[in-house]
Amino acid sequence: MGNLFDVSFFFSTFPELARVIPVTLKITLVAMLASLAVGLGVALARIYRVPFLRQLAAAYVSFARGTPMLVQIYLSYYGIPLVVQFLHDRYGWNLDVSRIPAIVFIYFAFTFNVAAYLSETIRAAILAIDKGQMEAALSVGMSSLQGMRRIVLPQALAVALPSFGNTVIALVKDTSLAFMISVVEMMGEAKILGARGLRFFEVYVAVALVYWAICILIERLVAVAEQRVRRFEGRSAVRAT
Amino acid sequence: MIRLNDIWKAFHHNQVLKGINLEVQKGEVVVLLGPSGSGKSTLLRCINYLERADRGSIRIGDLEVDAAAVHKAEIAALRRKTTMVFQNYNLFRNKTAIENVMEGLTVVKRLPAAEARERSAQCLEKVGLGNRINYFPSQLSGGQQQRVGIARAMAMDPEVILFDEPTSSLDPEVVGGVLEVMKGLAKDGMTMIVVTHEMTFAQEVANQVAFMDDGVVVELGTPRQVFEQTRQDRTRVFLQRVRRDTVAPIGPAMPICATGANNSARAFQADMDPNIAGLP
Repeated sequence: MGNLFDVSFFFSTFPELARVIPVTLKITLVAMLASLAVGLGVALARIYRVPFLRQLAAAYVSFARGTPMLVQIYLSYYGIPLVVQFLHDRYGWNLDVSRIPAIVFIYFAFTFNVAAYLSETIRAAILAIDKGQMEAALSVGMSSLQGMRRIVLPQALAVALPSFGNTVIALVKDTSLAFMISVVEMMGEAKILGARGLRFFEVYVAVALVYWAICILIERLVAVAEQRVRRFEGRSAVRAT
Repeated sequence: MIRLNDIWKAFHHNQVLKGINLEVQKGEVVVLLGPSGSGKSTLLRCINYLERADRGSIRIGDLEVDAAAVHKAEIAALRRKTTMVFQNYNLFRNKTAIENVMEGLTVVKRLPAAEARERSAQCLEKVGLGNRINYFPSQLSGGQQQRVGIARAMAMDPEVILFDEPTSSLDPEVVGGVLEVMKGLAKDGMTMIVVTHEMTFAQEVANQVAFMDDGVVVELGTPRQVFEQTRQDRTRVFLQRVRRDTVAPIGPAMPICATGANNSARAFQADMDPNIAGLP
């Protein structure tokens, strides 16, 4: 029995895994925040039909959603150094590719991927807000930027938040791909521990539980945030007339 | 003083306004009447540039804007001189009643928060909602929401308030309260341009009534001139129809509420709004 499932080894992996939780969370947080910014920009370019940018945005979203995350990570890891090298050679920019930590390529790849999904969520949420809201903002003299920021986006956030929650959870799990370019996050650490102890099953069960726990926590946080941003919907979800 | 000079507007191939001229003196109330699709709402929306007129000029006070060569800054200036009350209220859903009124004061007029709050509270008091200032729109009835909408419009102290069918979405029993608030405003000397089907309001409050049909002003005059000494056949036919509908038991002039079949934005709103979509 002791050979089938090594309970003491199983428990001994938790502190080791916990040590790298911050790496997983850091990738998640950086990619999510950057994606929100990029996604908003892409969504606005499409909503306002900005010439050229709009076509570019549509092509980007299509590509980012139509290629595997893993491929995007490799493209980032092998492609960006080429660009940096080119800039270095051509313009004498003092950039040394070898000094860029691998995690930067991960940030880039995840932002590239997640921003595409978020932009669609954000676009749909903005379009779901009644046009009259912006008209009312304009009618009291606000600029369309002010109307967007103060009136439309806060309401769109309430619409988009459940979707954002899903995206964050998917992102947390996708960070397990970062070890493919040697960034040691939780999955990477699990593989190292498994190889060291020659017991893989125990450590994968452990890492699954840690991912699950993190995701439960995020679900809770999103639920609380949702209640806060939906505060204005008051007692009745249906508009009283 | 407001002067609209030869305003033209088309949506794609649909010519909605065909050279509108209208002059409104300070403190006057002008009621725009007309059948659905006649361009009343579009005209109103052109005045504050929610729609861009194709041609013509708009003068409000000392500001004159030529539609053919309009700058962003002029549109902004025009919007600061006007405010609008919407058929569907369009209160900011993420703000409480008092925040709705304060928003323009703090963001556009840049008043300090305390001053804006005080003035907003006064405006809400004036429309009879002093006890509802911290309610969100979703917690207010239609009539209350519309009165907040009026408070929001008057708080900005504009040169003119534009009313776009302010009572058409309301239950019949609360229409009176909203009209009372509007009468009060008129009495205080506010310049108002009102698109409405409330004939009694037009008769009692308006200084001028303009009857519009098919993108032109067909008849213009005092309520007495338009209602009792009607000159044009088109006006006569419309008035007969409206009066018949008003006395019918189904409610106030319901079938003509769904205006603007020519106007895609409004038609879209109508689709979204159960009050309008439910009409025959």
